[in-house]
Amino acid sequence: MTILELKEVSYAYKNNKDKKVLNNISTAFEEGVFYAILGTSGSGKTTLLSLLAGLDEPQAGEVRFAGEDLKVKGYRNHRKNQISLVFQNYNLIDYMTPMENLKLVNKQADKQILLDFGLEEQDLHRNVLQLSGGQQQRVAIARALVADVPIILADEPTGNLDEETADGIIEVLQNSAHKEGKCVIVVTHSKHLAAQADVVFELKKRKLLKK
Amino acid sequence: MSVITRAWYYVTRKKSKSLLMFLILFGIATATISGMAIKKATVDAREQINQSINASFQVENNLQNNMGIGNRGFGNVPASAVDQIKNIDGITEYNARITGEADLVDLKKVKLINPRIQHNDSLMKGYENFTDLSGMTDSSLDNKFISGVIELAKGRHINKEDTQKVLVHEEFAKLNHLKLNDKIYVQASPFASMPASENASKDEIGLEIVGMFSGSNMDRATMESELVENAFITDIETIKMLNGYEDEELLYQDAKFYVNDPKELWRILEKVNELPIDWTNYQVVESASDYPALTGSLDSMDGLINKMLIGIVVISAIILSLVLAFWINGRIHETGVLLSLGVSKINIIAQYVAELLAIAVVSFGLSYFSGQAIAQNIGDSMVQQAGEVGTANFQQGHGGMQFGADADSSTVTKTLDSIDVSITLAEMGYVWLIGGLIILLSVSISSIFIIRLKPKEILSKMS
Repeated sequence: MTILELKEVSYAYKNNKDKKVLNNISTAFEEGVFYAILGTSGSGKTTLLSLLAGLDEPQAGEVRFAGEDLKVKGYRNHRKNQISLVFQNYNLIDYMTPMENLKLVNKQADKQILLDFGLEEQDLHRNVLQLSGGQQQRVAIARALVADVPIILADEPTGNLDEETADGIIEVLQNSAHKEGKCVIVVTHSKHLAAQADVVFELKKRKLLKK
Repeated sequence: MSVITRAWYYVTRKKSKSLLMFLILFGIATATISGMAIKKATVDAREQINQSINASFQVENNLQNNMGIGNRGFGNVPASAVDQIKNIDGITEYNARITGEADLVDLKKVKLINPRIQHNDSLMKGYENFTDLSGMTDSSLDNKFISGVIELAKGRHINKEDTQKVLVHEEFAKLNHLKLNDKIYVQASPFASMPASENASKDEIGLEIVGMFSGSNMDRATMESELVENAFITDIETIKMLNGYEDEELLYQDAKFYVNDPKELWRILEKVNELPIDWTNYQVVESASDYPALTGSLDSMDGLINKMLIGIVVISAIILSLVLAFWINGRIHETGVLLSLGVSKINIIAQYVAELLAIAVVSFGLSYFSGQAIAQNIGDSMVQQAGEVGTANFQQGHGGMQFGADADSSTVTKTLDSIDVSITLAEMGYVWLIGGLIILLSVSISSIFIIRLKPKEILSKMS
């Protein structure tokens, strides 16, 4: 079932409104599917993800959740209740522990998810800056998973990780789509990651093309 | 996670940043509470002075038409005028003064060290024992005591029932080995400027010491007789004996009258002016003008403290806004993350305010103690500065005229010499109010860029 949809979406940067980054894109994203969006640097991948996340709004067209334009209930509502974002640089709150970062999005969050992701008990109560990069990324993904939202959006989630850790993360994302029925959309350069996705798009010449 | 929880985590875990903010808020609070306490102390001092000087008036010679009597131009306010005025309804107390001149018998005067002007000692020959005696009906109402130029240190004041009683300075008593209830002796002086009547006592007159006062000259004295240490305050009967006056021919230097209620002063003054007294030769002076330098120094103090408070608030707001701007700008990453998690901008700014308020609770609380420690010192320093300004303004207003250094002149040039600074709950309340407003203002100014930007713009800044 379509959960997120781009309807004739166009976007240009504020300082160069004549030059569109995205031009009249229409695409639908389904529940339970793991998507990868490939593209070269500057092709507009992160901009596209920002529009899907409700961090920005298109100059033309609509971004729809469950068939309804995001504007109707508001972008903040979309960010709070409908999506989770995973960034390449983790973006954890640096004065909190892993558990507290999880509780930012869900007060009922259980530590088991962090233990399942390979963190030790003592790691749960340390400052996140004391964790390794791989551990921090696993905390960031755990935060996205405990948020109890139907969509996970990730921007280069494995960009800073070694191959083994990256494979573990990809597996978690796959399971979120296939076992929990979430719509997972990952923006990446990595062809290795894209190869694990159910559907791969490529952003090329301001259009989103299915591969 | 609630705003309060996030704020608490930040404050307790970002210790160096919280400490910096604590020090800034502590400084602001200490400065504000000190300013408020000094302001209150100044207001209290003014009220206290107003209570004593606004409820009185003085009758004295009108120097334009009446230069007084004797070579020294003593006042000649008739006793009959004083009697008429003191009986007006609403007047509660009065102090009539008369100056007498006498020679001290077997007594040493306190020596003048470092006089303002060096005299030729030979010119003063014969005057070694000469002194003025200030006779009065109630010394507790005398300007010298009210203004604090001198203070009663031992014994009691002179009152109108007294005969042959005297108040002397502690230093004079020490020099002459005198104690309370001892007697000193004076006699009519051949150097007196006022010729004594035939009835004047030819004998030595014994005066019992009923009180001793302390205090020193406000300015450097020119002559020994100007020293407060050589002042003598006695009763009216003693002056009458020395000069041989009868009751009906008694002429006062001046008389000061106190009214029950300062608001009634105008009504009473109207009645005074209606009395059959020769108002071309005499005049009524409101006592508010008795202490020009004192009120001038209070005005200067008011000005200084108001400038200080405005300065504190403005500078505090600027410093706090700048520091917060850097602080909030340094938290762009955190702001972006929270926005991406669906936390609202208002909620994020509320967290900043909550953090500052948490730090403010401690810093404002501790400022009570730091304020106690420094406010009195700052107040004393401001009093000194205000006194200098008040005196300078007063002298400038009198064409740079140099006033005498004797005890009576000292009441004219007396400035505020101290204030009692204390910090109460009211000042703490003001600190919270002002500090809270500065925090809200500073956070609002510093948060403008968060309000202005879209989440994506913040996130792009953070990456």
